[in-house]
Amino acid sequence: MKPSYDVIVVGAGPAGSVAARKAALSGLRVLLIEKRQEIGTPVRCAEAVGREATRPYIEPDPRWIDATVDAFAIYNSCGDSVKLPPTETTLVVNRKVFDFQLALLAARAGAEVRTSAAAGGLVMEDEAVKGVRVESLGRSETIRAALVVAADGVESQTARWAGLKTVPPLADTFLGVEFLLAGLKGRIDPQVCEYHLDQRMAPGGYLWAFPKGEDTANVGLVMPPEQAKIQSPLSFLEQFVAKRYPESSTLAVISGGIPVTGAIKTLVTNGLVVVGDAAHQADPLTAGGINLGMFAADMAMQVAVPCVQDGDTSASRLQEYERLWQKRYGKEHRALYKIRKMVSGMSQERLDELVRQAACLPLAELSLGQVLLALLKNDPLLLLEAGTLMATGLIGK
Amino acid sequence: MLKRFQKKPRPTYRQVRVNHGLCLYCGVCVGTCPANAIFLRSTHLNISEESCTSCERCLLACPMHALTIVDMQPRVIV
Repeated sequence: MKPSYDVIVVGAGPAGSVAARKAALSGLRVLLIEKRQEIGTPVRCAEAVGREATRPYIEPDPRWIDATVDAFAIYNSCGDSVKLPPTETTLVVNRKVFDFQLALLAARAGAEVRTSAAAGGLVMEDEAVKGVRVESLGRSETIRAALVVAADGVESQTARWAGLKTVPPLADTFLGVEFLLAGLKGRIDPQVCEYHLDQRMAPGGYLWAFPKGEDTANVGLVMPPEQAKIQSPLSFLEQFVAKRYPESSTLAVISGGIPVTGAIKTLVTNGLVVVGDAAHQADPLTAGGINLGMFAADMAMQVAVPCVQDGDTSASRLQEYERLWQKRYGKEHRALYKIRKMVSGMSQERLDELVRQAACLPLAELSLGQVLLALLKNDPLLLLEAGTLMATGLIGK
Repeated sequence: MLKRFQKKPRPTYRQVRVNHGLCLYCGVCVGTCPANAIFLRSTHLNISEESCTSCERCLLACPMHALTIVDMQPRVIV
């Protein structure tokens, strides 16, 4: 262990490892701490990433690719489905190996990685973060650094200790439960990710089945707490699995939550930046966060590394990261947030009808925008909500 | 006088309990606790009685319904 560090990254998920590696490659002394005893566990994720969006951070490797997906099928409650080509080739990954490899890359770049090492508090001096109290294997020590990167995911406390508002509104937290099912041969398509929009099976949210090979899949659901109050997401999922995949084996039970608010307003403070799920940077519509977390970590370090090198990690210098994030994703995520609100507020009848209509369109030849436009023509009520869709740029004006 | 004092109900307080048979240690409750009262270490979830305000947000945020709140009576030490 070195006497002090330039950067301490809290959390060795995809965002933390990307941040640690980038800082280490720039010649900074980096400590990456992970509170779990093993990187990549427990998995709390449906495990889908975009191949090209991942490539800048790690070269695709069969060791962590479980399935390569070339279509998304959206089902309604009647069993009708629309098959859409994904915007890019999607990989269903093994997060245990994926996260481990990313941390290994950070270690190879020169970052010091420590597991079973939790952040227990921050060192604050003159309203600036100056280090972390690290609790590791029965020891507690204060480690100083010019910059702390809070990449501690959905259970983030680090940023809050520094005074940032990272508690998500309860209504905008998706609660998720997932089973890794086996024995699905013939019942899943290993090249297709399925989404199920069924208000009875997952009120206010959706279900998915992401293939992880010929006969295994991540089958899960997300829903808002309001709907999960009376019946637990676990029992909703058990019902769905009993109906759709009877006599399957459950190889893993996974639970988790995702803040789907769009990124928090303040991403930096003196001596600290927040990245990934800790900053609510997951997609507010689909709740996907791996690629966005890695992208944000890279963006944050692009700004922060020169600040550390210059010896000035004040909020005013780090704010450039906030500005860049807003410029890239601010508007888009606000629109996606509205779309999610719109879809989750739809009655099952309307959802069923929309999917049925879309299923009749020659989807392979149409862009997503054209599909939405065709749906609008068929459903005048949707026109009222067209403003939201326009804001995303998915359809022209 | 003494009789009336004895009849007075003891003050109760509310405490969040973890059902360790259900908890998968995903940490969602940790992130939603506005009082920073929940701590997670690998497979150990600890709720600080001193910091907890019994707001019940964590109960609503738990995907497994693994948290419950119980009324407690302070133990009288004679």
